[in-house]
Amino acid sequence: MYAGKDSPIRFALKQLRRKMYMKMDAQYHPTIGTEKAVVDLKGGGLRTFYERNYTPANATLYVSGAIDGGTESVIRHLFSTKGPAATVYNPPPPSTAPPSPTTQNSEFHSLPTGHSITVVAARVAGAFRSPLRDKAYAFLSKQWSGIGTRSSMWVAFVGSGIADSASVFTDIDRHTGEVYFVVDYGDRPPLPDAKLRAQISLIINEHHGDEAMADFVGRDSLGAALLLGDVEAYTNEWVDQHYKVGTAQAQPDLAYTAEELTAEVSKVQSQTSLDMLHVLNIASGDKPVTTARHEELVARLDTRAASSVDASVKRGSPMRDAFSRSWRHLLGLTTPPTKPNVESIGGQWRFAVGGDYALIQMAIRPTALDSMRATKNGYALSLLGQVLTLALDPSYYDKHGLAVITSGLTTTAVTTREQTPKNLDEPTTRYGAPYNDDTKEFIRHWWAEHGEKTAAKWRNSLVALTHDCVALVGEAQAVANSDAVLTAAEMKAVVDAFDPGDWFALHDQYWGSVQSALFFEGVNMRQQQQPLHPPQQLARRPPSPIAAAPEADRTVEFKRGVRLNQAVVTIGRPAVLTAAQTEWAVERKLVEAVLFHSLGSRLLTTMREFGGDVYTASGGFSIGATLDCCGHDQITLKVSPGMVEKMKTKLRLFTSEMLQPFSEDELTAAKQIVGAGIRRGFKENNMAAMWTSHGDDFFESVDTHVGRLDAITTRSLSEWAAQELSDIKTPWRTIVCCV
Amino acid sequence: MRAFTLPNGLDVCIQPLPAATETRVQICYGFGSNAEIGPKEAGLAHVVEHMIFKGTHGDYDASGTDTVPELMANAASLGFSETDIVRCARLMGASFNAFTSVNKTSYYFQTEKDFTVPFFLILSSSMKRSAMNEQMLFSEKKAVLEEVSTDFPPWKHTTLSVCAPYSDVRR
Repeated sequence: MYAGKDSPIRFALKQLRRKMYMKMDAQYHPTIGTEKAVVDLKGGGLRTFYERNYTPANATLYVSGAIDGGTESVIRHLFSTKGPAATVYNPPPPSTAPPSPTTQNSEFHSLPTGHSITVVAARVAGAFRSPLRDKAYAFLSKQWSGIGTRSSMWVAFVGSGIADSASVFTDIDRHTGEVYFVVDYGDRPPLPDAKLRAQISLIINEHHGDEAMADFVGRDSLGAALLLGDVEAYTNEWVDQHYKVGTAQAQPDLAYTAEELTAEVSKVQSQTSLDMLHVLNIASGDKPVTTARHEELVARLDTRAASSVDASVKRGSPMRDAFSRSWRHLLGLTTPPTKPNVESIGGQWRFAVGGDYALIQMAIRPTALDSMRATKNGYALSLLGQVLTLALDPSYYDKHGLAVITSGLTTTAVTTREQTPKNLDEPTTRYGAPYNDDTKEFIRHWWAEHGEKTAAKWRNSLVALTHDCVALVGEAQAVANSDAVLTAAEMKAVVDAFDPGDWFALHDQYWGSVQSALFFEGVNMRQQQQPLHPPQQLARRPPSPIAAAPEADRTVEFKRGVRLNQAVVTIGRPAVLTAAQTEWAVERKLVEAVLFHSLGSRLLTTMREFGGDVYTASGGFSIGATLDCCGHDQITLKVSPGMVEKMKTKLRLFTSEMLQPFSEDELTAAKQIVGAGIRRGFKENNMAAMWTSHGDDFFESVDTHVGRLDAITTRSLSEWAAQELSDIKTPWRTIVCCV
Repeated sequence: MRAFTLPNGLDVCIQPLPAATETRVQICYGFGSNAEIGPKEAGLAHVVEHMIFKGTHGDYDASGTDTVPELMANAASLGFSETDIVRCARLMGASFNAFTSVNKTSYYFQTEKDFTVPFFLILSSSMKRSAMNEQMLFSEKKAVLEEVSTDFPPWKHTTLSVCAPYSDVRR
């Protein structure tokens, strides 16, 4: 009677999947698919799927049972055909073309926010011919002309009352870089295009050479420290500025004690690509615009005329608010902590429109290390950003006109120029659309191919950064901020080696003719045309389901005209365990046995004590992060229809109290259940085949795990469960009732 | 257990069980429905699984072959029809099946120890040269749709959730 479509369990679990996952997640749909999709399938699609996935490297062949000595040679003979080569993305070499002279008039774009106007003149530095030297020059150019209230830009624009603020920032990576001159006019009318050019030309042309350097030294102690080779002074100041360490700590020179540092490094080292993927999946629930730049994409800027507008987004604006919610969510925060001060993270939007492309970029300052370590997914998020930076395939850009990558906490969506108005038009699509299903799919497949390797790389990088930033190890300390990917030692060496000839040559190369530079300018078009974005479109976007508050339950009423004498209540949450946590094989099973196994389980006992008819009760903790999707934990009850509301309440209560310390009796019973299960799995050929196909170390782990059972005590198990499975770590937040 | 990796990347695990009279040959892929791209492909992995044993391409017709050495000599160009596969299994008393989950797809034969070679051949051919015949797809869709309409029995969900953890232990 309750089979198939009329099964309440089936319906409830289907609804639970839909609450827990996005449409693009594998677990959103039943594995066997949907009727419509199956009907629409074509032979070509099958072949494509087959060729895409059925490769030897994707498979494990398992042979067990009665086997003679010739089996291995037969396998080698029959299965050794060469599989298709893995597709490895090789980034194109950086462009060596010199910076192109601009031939394009400035373009002006309205800012949808209605907030203060920022005009940016940006110079694409082009491909570095000598990365160290050119990076050092670009970095120093920024220092002398645009950092601080005594900089040339500040004096010229703010000092003369033309603008509210003026600064320079650089965006430099391994092969190329850009220098942006930012002038925030506030409500003043912006300078005419030609006059702005002239003003900036004056600034950069009058400050070069030894005289400029001397002046610079006098004005900027930080820059002076660099120029004079006082690396230690520079790095200390840099650390102090960027990481807010030292002053409030017991040891003025070290942010953390040696033990604390070791602990932090250990945390970083324990991060896996699965951790990052977990964060990515969480992130994709809210779909922030996630991306930034790629060498190849940046190199394109050299050859394409472009124009851009930067927007400083004020606190309280819808844009800032939406983004703020998104990154706080990524960090696992529902409210900003009082310490560390993540509120200090600032933000800036940039819209750059070129001949056939547009950039929508949201950049925020790097997360402070102390913020990173104190937030739930801080390390994983940071690593995720670094990893995804490499995820952009140029062909994807060419095919879809959309590239989504990320660098640290800089987010950018790149879309076609034609799509730009649409993407800017609605706040919902501004954050959501660029990070669309295709993008996620792309990243999923990229992740499967490159994720672990790249994760390892950046994990090591972050470990190094942690050491460098916190331990203050002198000249070997990395400068490693977003502006100059140079170590302090490298910077010192380069600056020391500059001679006047180099200095002028570089200056000519990059700034010699301002007229040949690319200037991207923009003004607020409110005064010149109708706004593209009516205020009502900036209304607050409703929170996505996954970002919703934990207590936001959802109930699905299910009536099919069939008289049912049972109802299903199920509650779920994203899985909290990963395959990297080896405790899944023993500790998790023990906890599951206590909580959910059969009639004596805590779940069933608790629910029956509560009263009413509880027919069955089950639950389980999934190993959450697979390469492609998160799993979910769930608890399901089958109850009498009249008990649904009460059971919902009770079930929610149960999830918060179920991990009370375990008793000896419970542990003894659980050990028998789990131990028997492991041994049975070991002995039964079929099960062993199925499992071994997925885990090369199954047999070794069986022996290990059986041995581990004896060592587990009620205390150790209780502590592990409280640490890893608690409701606080990941709240149970989705309830589905099938009535 | 002996484990090794072939040059093409295929992992192989051989587990002799002295008391066993049968041999199980199973190939498992580390993907399932998670390899589908978008809702339009929902169920594609499962349909492909259904189609794997529907015949393979090959230049060499195995129907007239009755010696194992001859089959082995032509292994690289063997083709099997669906009938070949089914008949082979029946003649040799083998059981075979396949399953698809979120992150794994698996095929196996289990037969008496003296009859394993033909199934190695079938598996090898199916994994490299499956025909994915359009007419076969038309008929197989009906079987798949029947499964879709009845969906999983509840216990299968539980089984999936319990087994899922073991899928992620690859090193």
